[in-house]
Amino acid sequence: MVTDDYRDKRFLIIDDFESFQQILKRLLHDLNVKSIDTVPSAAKALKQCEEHQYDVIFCDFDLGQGQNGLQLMEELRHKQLLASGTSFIIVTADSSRDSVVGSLEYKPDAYMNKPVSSAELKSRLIKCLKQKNELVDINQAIDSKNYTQAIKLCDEKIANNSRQKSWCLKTKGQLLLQLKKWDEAEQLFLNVLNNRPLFWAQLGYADTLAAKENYSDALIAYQLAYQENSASLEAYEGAARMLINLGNPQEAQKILEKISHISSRSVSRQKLLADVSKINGDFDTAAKASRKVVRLAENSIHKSAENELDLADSLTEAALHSSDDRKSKDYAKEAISTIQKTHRENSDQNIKIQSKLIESRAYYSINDKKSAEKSLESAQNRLKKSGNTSNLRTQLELAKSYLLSGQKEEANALLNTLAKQYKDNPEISAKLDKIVDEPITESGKNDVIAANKEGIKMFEAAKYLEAVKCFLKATKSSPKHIGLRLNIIQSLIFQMKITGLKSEILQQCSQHLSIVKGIPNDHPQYKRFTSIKNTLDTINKNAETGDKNG
Amino acid sequence: MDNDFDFHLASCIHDMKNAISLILNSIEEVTNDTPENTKRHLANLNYEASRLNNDLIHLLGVYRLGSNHLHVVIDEHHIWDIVNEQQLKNQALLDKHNVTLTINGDEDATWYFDPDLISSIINNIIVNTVRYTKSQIAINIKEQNDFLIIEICDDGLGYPENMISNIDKPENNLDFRNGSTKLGLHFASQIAKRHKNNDKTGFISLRNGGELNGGVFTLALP
Repeated sequence: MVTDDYRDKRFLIIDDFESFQQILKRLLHDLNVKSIDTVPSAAKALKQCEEHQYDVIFCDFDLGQGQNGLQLMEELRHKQLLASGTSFIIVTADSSRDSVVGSLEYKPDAYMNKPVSSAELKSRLIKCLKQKNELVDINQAIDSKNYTQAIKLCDEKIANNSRQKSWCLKTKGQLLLQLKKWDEAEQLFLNVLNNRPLFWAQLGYADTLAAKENYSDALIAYQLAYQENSASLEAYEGAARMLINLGNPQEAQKILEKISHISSRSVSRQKLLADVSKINGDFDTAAKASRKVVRLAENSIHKSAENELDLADSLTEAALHSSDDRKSKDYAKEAISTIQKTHRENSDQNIKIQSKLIESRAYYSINDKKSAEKSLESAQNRLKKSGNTSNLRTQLELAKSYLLSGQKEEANALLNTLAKQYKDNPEISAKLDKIVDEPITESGKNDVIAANKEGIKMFEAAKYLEAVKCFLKATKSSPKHIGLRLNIIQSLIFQMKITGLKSEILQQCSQHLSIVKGIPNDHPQYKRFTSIKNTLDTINKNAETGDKNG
Repeated sequence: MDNDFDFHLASCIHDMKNAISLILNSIEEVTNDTPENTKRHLANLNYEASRLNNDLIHLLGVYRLGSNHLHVVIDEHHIWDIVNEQQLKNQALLDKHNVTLTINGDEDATWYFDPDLISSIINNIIVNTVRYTKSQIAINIKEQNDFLIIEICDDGLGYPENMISNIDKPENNLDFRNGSTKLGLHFASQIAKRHKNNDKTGFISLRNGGELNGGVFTLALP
């Protein structure tokens, strides 16, 4: 039973302004709260929560330096320092919420706007505790991953027309998705949408369609979702993912770049942007996005050595693919200093080995073969010493370094072993195909064959843009595939024979070409590569003189 | 550039709002042990600070409306709770002006709207009405023809005629009751319009009369 007796409840106030701490403290004292702790920063709050269990936490959104209130909450939940019975209330001076960080797995129990009056505080507190109390069984079932039980409890509340009905409906939808019960989830979201185009139902519906691999309908659903809520990062990211699946990674990249104002602090958006711009051959953007991932993750649960390794890898790719020597050197330099810092700061053997492997590629990218071989050797020595403890990433990095150093047989042997080992794991198989210019896995090979077949059919019917779409679909799984890229460029050139020269298409051509520019001269596609490259060079030259004359 | 300006404007307003919050909380704190004649001054101080607070919200809101950075997210909420919270937020102000506020409506009824934006509209109208009512404010919540209707009635002198007819044209409406803010009504009207359901659109209106025979502000959401 909920009462307004707070004598046995423990409160925490987090605010970087001491005067606000005092105001809230006094208001709580007036409500007969006995136990109140106050801290000025996220770091101190974290420590406090490790030592005590709180019933109610009031947290200012803007905590000055370091984490903000929502990032702190995310970390507390992630580290399981918040019990399911703890109420987390965000207090903010700005009444709009759009300065908040992107997609949040966890949402606060309530928001309050400053100034907080004593009567308002009292009412909010009762409401919040009542709600917590009513939902405690469901939250406990979710915390112990007993989703079926949680759904049953949600159903009871929905049937009883509880005040928390709307919360229960949303939660049930998410739980059905967790349990992969797509049809039931779809039905739930559609029932809501039949009445009102509510954003959460629209997004849930889109997620369901995406899970059922119905990408074109999912894309439309995500678009409707962001029309309903133009601040929703999840909806834009979902749309971008569908566009990649549908063979339109360029449009996906455009969307992700366009929404920078919504959540410039979102790590997930930058990660996705780095991935998609690599598919598009836009390695400058990929490098920029990877830099941001490292910077943004600094204060959050997303911080990890992985991000720094990814950054060094993106920078190395940018160095490898840039046609400007100075730029290449700058990228390589940054990659090397990034990776050396990671190497220094981490004691984990796998990370140390991965650092050395990426470092070797960074040296290769600027033709410093001696240093590259030294780094590769150092990695191999460590590998030997560490016995058989190398993890998947270490093996993938090793294969990439083998490929770049020209040790093709070693690379293929390693990748084939991995392909066999992980043949039932589509996620890992997909990672293997991304490394090489010809897919290793059966499904990767089939994707390329299917895309080529369909694409060539379109090409022969003179539907060049349709053909490009078909080829692009397979670049998602095999971004380094040389034949696909050459097919795309050739289709684009044919398209320009109809539409005339277009600078946007020309730029796309050179991006695709830059992806395959490292092609060895004994590659079966090498002749075709040079011929297409020459054609493009001629077109570009003509376009330039055309510009001057025009 | 736009982002930069938004950022600076937002952080500046954030800072001002923090300062005003401190002032308002300090007023609440000192009121209890103040002699009667000083209480009147405090009541004015409270009123003016609340108005400043609302003006800042509206300023930022209208700017974001213009730059398409204002996001309206509609979901199902308990409307009575939202109105009640705005009353509680202003309880000290109401007490000091000896105004009683009653809310009439179903406590369990839900409707579809953006809770932050609708809260700020109601808060603004309450603060303004406190100044112009005699002794009472009544807020009626009801459903009518597929609209949620929120009426804020007072027993004051009512809204001036030119304001009633020009509610949607803030430029013709420079005086919001003796020089007060027109921004609030403009903002309220814009927010109401962004609440849509099928072919119906939200709106605000003003009239005189009503159950308290004063001014009536109406917010209608489909």
